Amino acid sequence: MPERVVIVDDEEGILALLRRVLRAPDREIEVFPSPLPALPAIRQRRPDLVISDLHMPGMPGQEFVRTLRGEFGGGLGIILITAFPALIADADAVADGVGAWLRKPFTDLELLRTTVAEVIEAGRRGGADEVPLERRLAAARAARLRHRANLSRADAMMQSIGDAVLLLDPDGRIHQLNPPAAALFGQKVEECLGRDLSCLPIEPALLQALLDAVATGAATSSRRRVTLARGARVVDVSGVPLVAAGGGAAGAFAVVRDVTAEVRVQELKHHYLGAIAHELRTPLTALQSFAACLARKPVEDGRRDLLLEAMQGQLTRLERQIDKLLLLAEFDRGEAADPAARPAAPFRVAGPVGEAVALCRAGAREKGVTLAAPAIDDALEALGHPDDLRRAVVELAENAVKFTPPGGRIDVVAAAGAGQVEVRVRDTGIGIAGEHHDAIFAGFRQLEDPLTRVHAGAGLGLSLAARMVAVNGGRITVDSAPGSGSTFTVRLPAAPVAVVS
Amino acid sequence: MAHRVLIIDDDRWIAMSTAMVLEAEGFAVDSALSGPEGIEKVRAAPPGIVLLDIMMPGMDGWETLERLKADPVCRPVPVVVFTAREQREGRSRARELGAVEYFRKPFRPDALVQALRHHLGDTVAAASAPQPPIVGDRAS
Repeated sequence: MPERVVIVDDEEGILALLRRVLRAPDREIEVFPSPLPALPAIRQRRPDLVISDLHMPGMPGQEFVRTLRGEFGGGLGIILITAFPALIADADAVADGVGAWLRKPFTDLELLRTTVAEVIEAGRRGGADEVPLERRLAAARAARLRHRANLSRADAMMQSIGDAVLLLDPDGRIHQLNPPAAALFGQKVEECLGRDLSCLPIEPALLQALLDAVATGAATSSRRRVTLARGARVVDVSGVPLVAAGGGAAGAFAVVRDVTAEVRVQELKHHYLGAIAHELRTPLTALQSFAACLARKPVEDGRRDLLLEAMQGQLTRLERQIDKLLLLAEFDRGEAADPAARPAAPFRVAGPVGEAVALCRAGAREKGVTLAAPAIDDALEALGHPDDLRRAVVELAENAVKFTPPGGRIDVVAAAGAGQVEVRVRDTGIGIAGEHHDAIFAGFRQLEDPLTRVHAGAGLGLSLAARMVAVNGGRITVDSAPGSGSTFTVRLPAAPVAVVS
Repeated sequence: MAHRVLIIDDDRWIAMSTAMVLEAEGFAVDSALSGPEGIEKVRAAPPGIVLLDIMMPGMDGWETLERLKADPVCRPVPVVVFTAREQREGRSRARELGAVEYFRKPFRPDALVQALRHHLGDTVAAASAPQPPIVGDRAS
């Protein structure tokens, strides 16, 4: 004769969870949202077990229990569910012959299943109303829990670990999972418990990896690129099959580690090594060719002088690239950002901006780009370090020259803003698409791949400029669109206005 | 008559130094500082061979190469790619897009000269060279 179980709860989620978890061959499960509609069905079908919530609309759980006990005596097992463990010791309820209490949320599905089996068993013996039943069951449970102390520790570890961990039944259903695992599937923990792995909305590649991990007879690990609710991720999936005491399969542990950040750092490192190599190899290439020309004898005096001068220029360029690189590395280690070591002071903006423009004039002229810089008001003062501003403007102006075709124009202007000083470098160059605006300042940090193509030549200069301005309490913003030029704006704190007495 | 080489590279120092090496070897050299300028020059007067940089602002070398190979006038001109930015699959990509050779910067100037002569069909010069050039890696 099949076991009949009736579940009464006003929470749909609980009903669904219990239905899934308690599903068994030869067991019929009926669910009801409240006691009133449940009572006629119970009277008609005489189930072995009623599982009921304590707090429900229409009729309180305890009154429901009293009614059932009065009508069916010790032949009906009763289990009450509550989210308030303090009430579990309620003597009245025990006197009413409740077979067992279960706490919400359900963290131990095994406990749930065995408790149900025990109460049904007691009911079939006609002893489901024995007063000490709950205590006896509780004692048995405690003993079982002590035996399972190791498992509990594993459970605690599982809950505290950052990786997604799943404990699967031998039949592939989810027995336990931690919050990161539920998040991985875009579900709540309770929505996953007891469900078949393949019924969850898991991307096929990840599901296959999980099934492989569980199916193989040895611990395995594989790296997959998957698309999850959080977007494209890279995950390592590994599994460890569990062996029962008798030697049979007891399910499996599966661990999914999100390694997206690590992989990204690797890719970034690769990207930056490439960018650095490019900036070092270019002057080196020119040097090598000039040296080859010098080695071809005879070399006329005039040509030799020209070659030596050109080589000197490339050596300077190489040296500057290396300085830039070291400075950027210093910034990224946070060493250059100690304000105590370099107290900020008021300075006239005209000085460093003028010097920066002067340094970039030759490069602009050679390329056929007009570099215009109207005189800056001498009274315009910022707070910070003039050297940093000069370097930042040099980087911005050099970048503008690089990305502006011959015949184009670059304007460097400065003005007072609200409590700030603004220096703008505006060009008529090729422009930068909006989605790259943040990335161009990224330095060794986040950076998108398409950038390699769009703005690779920007190299490290803009990252450096952004950091030089940031350590002075300012920031650089960019306003640009492909085809319509770019405007880079440096904002620094204005110097406090001197009070004339 | 001297072989005409067109260098397409946004770095004027690379263009200038490479031109000096090639001119000393008897080539007639012209240069363009961007992809569009280079394509225009090839179309106007196709050179014997093109030396093409990859990492250029705006239209990069890959796009320039594609456009050259899509243009009936430019297509027959052999293109040698030279780049300071080592990219995964750069070599095979260059080959797929129709380049005859891939050089990594910095390169050995004599290796470049040899390769250009080879692709220009200057068989006498190529045969007299100590190591006949082959299509492949010519990084120094």
